[in-house]
Amino acid sequence: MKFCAVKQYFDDENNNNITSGASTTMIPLPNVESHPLAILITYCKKHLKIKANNADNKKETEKEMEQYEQELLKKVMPQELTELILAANYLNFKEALDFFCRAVASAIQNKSIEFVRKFFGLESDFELGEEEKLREEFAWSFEGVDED
Amino acid sequence: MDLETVGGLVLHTILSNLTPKDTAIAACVSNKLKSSASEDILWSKFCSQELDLNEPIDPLGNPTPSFKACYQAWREAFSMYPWPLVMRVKKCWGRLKNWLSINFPEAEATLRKGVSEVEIQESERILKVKLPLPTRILYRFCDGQEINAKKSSGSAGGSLLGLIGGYSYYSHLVNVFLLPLNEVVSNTKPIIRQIGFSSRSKYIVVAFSHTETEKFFFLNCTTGQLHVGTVNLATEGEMIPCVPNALISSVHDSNGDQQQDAMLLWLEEHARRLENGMIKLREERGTRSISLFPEEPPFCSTAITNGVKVRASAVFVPEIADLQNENAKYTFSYSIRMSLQREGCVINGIPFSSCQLNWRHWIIRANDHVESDFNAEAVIGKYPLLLPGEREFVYESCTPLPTSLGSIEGSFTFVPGRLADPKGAPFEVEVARFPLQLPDYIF
Repeated sequence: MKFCAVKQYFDDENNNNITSGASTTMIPLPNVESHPLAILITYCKKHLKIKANNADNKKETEKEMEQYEQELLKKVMPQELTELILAANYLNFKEALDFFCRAVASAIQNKSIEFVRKFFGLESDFELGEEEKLREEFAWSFEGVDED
Repeated sequence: MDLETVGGLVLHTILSNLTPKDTAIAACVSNKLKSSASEDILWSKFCSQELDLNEPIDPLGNPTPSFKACYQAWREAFSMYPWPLVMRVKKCWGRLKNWLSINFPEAEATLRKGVSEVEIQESERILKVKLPLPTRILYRFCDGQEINAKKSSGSAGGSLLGLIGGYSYYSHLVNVFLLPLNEVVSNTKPIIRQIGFSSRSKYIVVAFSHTETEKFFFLNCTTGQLHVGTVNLATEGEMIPCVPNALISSVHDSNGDQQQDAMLLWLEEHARRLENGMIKLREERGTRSISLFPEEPPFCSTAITNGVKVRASAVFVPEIADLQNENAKYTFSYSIRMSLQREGCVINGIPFSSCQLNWRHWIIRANDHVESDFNAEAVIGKYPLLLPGEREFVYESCTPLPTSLGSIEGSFTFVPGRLADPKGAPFEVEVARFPLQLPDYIF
């Protein structure tokens, strides 16, 4: 199910008996920037196209989709990923959301705490000494972390 | 970019793709991430995947309040070792204990709890060795077997519970136990002295047969290889390596990529053989033990003639091997099992309700060269009478061989009915060829 939020809108419209002009209706998406939306639309179209090409062959669909996703990741900046996640989340677009979440997980794999903070644009909001305690608690996880 | 606005579900999706290590790091980033990263469902997945745990139990067997606390406890308890190696050793013991709990619970009951780091260091100090990494972790998980276990019926009962198992032929009986660390310490010095090694030798005794027949396994702490004593152990200190040398690596290197020593490889191979049924439990006179005679092809042959089924396989006997004797370097013991199918003995369409063995014809080959080809009466002095559908008649014997590869095949002459009252003409029953082979893993 793609773009569930948008579909919802159409369903509501139909219920209100507005049939014509669907192709020219403007749907307000206040929480989505144009750039991530464009990427999501492309992603969605591509997914449908690949699915149509490999009608019965689920494996082929998965493989082609993976290749496309790899290509897409090369063009997207890591920082854009969080925007894409927020957009996919708002639009209720599950496949894209899962994909971008996985991409974010890869991006922060084996990285330091500071890197992860910067990546998500977060500040440490721990109480005094709490971070020290946490670092001690998870001491085993700090070996072999990548240089920032 | 504002991750703050993103819901818990999205954070959970991101985190569920992370390794335990990255999840832990995420927990140190901010309060929001800490809360998401602390969800126990993430840690229960890690406990299941990495430690095969479905319940939160710490290394000492005590329950922990959450899976997260459980995973932490395990990482901390083994923080001095490479984690992938810890997981591998845990899996190995898991497989062995699992097989035992299903098939041989009386032997599982002899397994002792793992030792502590302190006990390992103390043992190393007394023995003046440094144990290879994988062996240390093996002892952390399980400290060998209780040797003076509760004895079942008869004095032999308690001594056939060896994890490694054994075999017997004529009066030669072995059944090998893994020694607890304190027994390793108390047995190593006197045995090393007895076989004439220097007191600074890096060999320790890790397993032996708890029967009258002697069979000793030594671990070389420097190389990480396991050796078994031959017939010349006491006089020459002669031993045979038990595991392919090429597989042993990085036994003392914490930073190495794949540490594996002979103990770990040996136990993993043993677990494999138990799991795939190559070796099985055998019951003799009411007592069960792990028998090292192969039960499956290609090492065990099967042939059925006129309803008589004969299964045959051999095992290498290292404790009798004599590397200095060109003519009889290697000795093999073989086990022959015969039985009569339910339909009875059917010859040319005529059924008979029994048959009895009279003669055997044996052909023993060393490589492809026939070493001996002879006919003789009976098998180990017996003339087994086979009745339909009964348990197999099993007997063992042995043969020396000048080479590490050979084979045995032959046939038995049976008469339908009984020898005292034959119901027809004698007929030959095939014993299909089975290999005599020096194995790459010696048990």
